[in-house]
Amino acid sequence: MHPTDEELISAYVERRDERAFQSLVERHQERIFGYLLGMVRDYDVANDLFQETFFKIIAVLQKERGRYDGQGRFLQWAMRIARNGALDFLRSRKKWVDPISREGDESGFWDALPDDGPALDDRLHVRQQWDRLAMCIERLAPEQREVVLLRHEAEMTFKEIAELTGVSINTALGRMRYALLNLRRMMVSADEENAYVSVPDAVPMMRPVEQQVLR
Amino acid sequence: MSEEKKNLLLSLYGELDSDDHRVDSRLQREAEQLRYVKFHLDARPGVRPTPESIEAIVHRAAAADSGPAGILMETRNGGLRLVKWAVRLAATMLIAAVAWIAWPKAPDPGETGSLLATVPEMAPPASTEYEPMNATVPLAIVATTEAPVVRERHITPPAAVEASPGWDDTSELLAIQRRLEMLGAMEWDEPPVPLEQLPTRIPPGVNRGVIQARDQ
Repeated sequence: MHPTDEELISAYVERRDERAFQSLVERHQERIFGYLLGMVRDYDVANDLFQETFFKIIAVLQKERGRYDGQGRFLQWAMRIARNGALDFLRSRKKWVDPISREGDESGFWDALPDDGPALDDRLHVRQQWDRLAMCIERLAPEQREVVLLRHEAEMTFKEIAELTGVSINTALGRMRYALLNLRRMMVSADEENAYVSVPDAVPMMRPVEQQVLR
Repeated sequence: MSEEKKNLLLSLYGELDSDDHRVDSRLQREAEQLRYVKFHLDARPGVRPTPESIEAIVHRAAAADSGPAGILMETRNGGLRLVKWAVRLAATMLIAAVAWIAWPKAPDPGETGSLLATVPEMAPPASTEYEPMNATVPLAIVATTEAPVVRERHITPPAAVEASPGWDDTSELLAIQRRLEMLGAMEWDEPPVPLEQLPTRIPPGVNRGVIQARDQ
């Protein structure tokens, strides 16, 4: 039986069991790193942020079990630290618009998006689609991309995503829905035109963050 | 977002609380689209950081052990090392001392054979006459001058002891006895008086202090 996150943390904090902490890192590495890589889209930067995330975790655990309250929520706590690191990095490069600052206008923004897309094409090879899908995710609006990453990479529930990002669960669900629909449209378009940049300019999600209209 | 679309998404991700997973016929098309994308998202392989990143984190975790608890462990180890070092040092000194004592010393050729012969000269028999001491002479000086004599008496051959018990004078013993009785008669708040200044005879009518049982 595998030890829980809390048991691993206790082993590290109380018995200085480094292997327990290593197990903890390896257990969550794909979730945290997948999120960070999807956010910053740079493998080296994602590695740096991944290290910084766990350096901060170590520092907190060493000083006091403090801000980590346990109760099976290590991943959420770690993801909060990782997210703050990623957002700091993106803000420093001016590639991120804080979704929280846009509270209140999201219904208009989402309503502006088209709901349906081209027909399904099953002939795309899965392997090719991984790469194309990655490119499509990169082109999502930041807040949509983040929800997709948190749900699929970090495997967080929508309720946890809502808590982490400071929005209502309805907002988190809305972002996810439009993210999926937009992804599908981009995937199909890419397949049909054999190009990945053929999404119409009229779709707000394709615009750079700086060009998005804030209502 | 409508409740139906919300439930559709929650159902797709297995987070719908109710057991009703039926999809509204109007949302069938959207359900297919969402399911299609989710399938490909789920099929994506996970990405991992470099092994160097993991190694750096584990190294940092180990280095952080020198924090409060780590310092405690370090202190314990240091204390243990100190005790071990002290025990080793003590054992070494003990062995050295035993070796120094047990090692046969080569006597000085000039002193060989004359040690016993000089003993009588170095330790003349103590005078049996009572000599009142000068009270101004410090006791330490007296002790220093008399000490060699006491030591030499210990090495006096037994034959000499048997031949001369002259020092065993009862008059001197009586003087000491009287001095002790005077000490017993003194009060606690009286200034200290050298033993030599105490009279050897008790004047009549003086409190004799504590009377010993054999005298009662």
